[in-house]
Amino acid sequence: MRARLGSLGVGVGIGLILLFLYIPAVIVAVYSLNKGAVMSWPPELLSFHWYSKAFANEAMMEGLKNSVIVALVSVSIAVLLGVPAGLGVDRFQFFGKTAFQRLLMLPFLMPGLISGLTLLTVILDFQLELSLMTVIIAHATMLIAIVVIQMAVVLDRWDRSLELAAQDLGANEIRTFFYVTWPNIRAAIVGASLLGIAISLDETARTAFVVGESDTLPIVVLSSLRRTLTPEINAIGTLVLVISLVGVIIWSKFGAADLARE
Amino acid sequence: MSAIRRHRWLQALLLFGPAAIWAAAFIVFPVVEAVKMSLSQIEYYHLVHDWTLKNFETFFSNPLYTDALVRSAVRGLIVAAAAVAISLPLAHFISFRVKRHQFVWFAGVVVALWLGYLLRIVGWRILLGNDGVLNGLLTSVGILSHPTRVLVFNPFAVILVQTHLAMSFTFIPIFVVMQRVPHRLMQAASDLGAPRWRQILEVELPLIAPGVAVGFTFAFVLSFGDYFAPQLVGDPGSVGIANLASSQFEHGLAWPLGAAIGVVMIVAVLAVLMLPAVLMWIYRRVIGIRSRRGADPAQVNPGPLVEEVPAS
Repeated sequence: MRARLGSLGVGVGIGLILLFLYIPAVIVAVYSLNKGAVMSWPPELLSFHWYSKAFANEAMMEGLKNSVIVALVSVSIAVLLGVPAGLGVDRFQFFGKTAFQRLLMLPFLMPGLISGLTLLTVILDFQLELSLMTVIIAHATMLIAIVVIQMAVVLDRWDRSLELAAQDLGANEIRTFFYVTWPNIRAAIVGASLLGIAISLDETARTAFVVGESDTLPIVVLSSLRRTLTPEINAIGTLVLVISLVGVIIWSKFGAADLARE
Repeated sequence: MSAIRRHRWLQALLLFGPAAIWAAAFIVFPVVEAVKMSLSQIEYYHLVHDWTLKNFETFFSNPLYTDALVRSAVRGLIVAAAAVAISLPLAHFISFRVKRHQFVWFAGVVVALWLGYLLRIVGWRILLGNDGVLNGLLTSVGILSHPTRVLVFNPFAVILVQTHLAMSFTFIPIFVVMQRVPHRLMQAASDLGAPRWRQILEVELPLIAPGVAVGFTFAFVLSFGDYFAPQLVGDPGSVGIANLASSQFEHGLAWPLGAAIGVVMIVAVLAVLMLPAVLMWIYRRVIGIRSRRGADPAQVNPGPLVEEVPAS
């Protein structure tokens, strides 16, 4: 009896925690389908009115477009710089290596506000122009950390003697990279890129400091939030959530296939 | 090509060079610039680098700023403690109680936390708002006769929202370290007669301590550096240090003071980030002394205790 009461207590506790976790997502999704503009109890379902309003909202669509540009460009920069650096950290020993690694990870560990604020001081001091370019720099700096961390994780698990074997069998560095190294790190790079895109699409703290005339989507949402709550935000937010979840699910299928082939 | 093959330093340069230049230009240099700006003044609408400590004097002599610093630090501790306190039982439940489809449970938690940062704040505001869901629910059930205004725009709402935001940074590290706790150790403790609370306290907790420490610091840093929740669900009394830092750049020409607040925040956050390493060092020293006195469990290895209890 006591055991049953105990497990009932555990069940209720875990249920409450899950309720706490799911409240914002469920509310945002449900009220994106609300008919009216007042978001109170009970919701008046079911209408896609706010979705069409969000699509007709020029500022939001412009923001979405800018966000996608920023995400794609900054993730590309992060991969181009982070993957070689990750490979290098794995295979070279040198003085200050740990410090260098930590430095690359710092923008991810520090609050976004710090990264944005320090970057803004440079821009103000040199009287540079704020633009999507400055946003891309801020995002890429943060995303390099994610790529480097992912590379460290995957290279740590991987047997480096495979590369030596390939070279013993007469492959040069380029062939070794494309036939041995690349297939092993590919899944990690795609994973880090998808995570990077999701993080970039959502980034607000840095962006608010260095954004210029062309706002990203979170900045449009932020300035609208400072005025009033509108269900359009819920609609666009739900949409971004669903799309990025679908992306992650597709990747986990491919990632699993990649791992299974090994 | 052959030159690259012959000189290893050239390989290293090609691999590290771009990232190193980027880090120097966009991580190190901006911090240097922020420090420089924090030691400057605005005179006649121009930035004058005159190496003055005036901004730091303003900061530390004005209770507006020092109170906000203390408030942010205290709120950070509360939020981190709350997020860890919620993550621990949830991660423990999924790791040790759920027998099948552990990954589905884990994914279920991550999906809830996948919603965007601002959108999560929006969700809480719709719930707690003056004509929001909770008010509507309570009045329609009859618990409240009128919608109440005390649910949102207060310090507690900020803590609630930030705790939810911090969950992604506490749950995942704690869950990851818990997955590595061998079930047979818990089983062994149980076979030796340890009640469940002792198994958790003396077997599980020491093994997951690093993950808990990482989660706690991340959650603290998130709350400490967050300037949206206090703005969007807080009242004037919940203004934190981060709000003051950002507002110096929004209105007027108070950049040097803003930079000084930023520098104070950098120092505070670096100290907090180094705290787990320092604590682990002290912990190892203490454990080291204890195990030298008693039997070192690593040296008295009796071989496999029991067959591995299937984790799933």
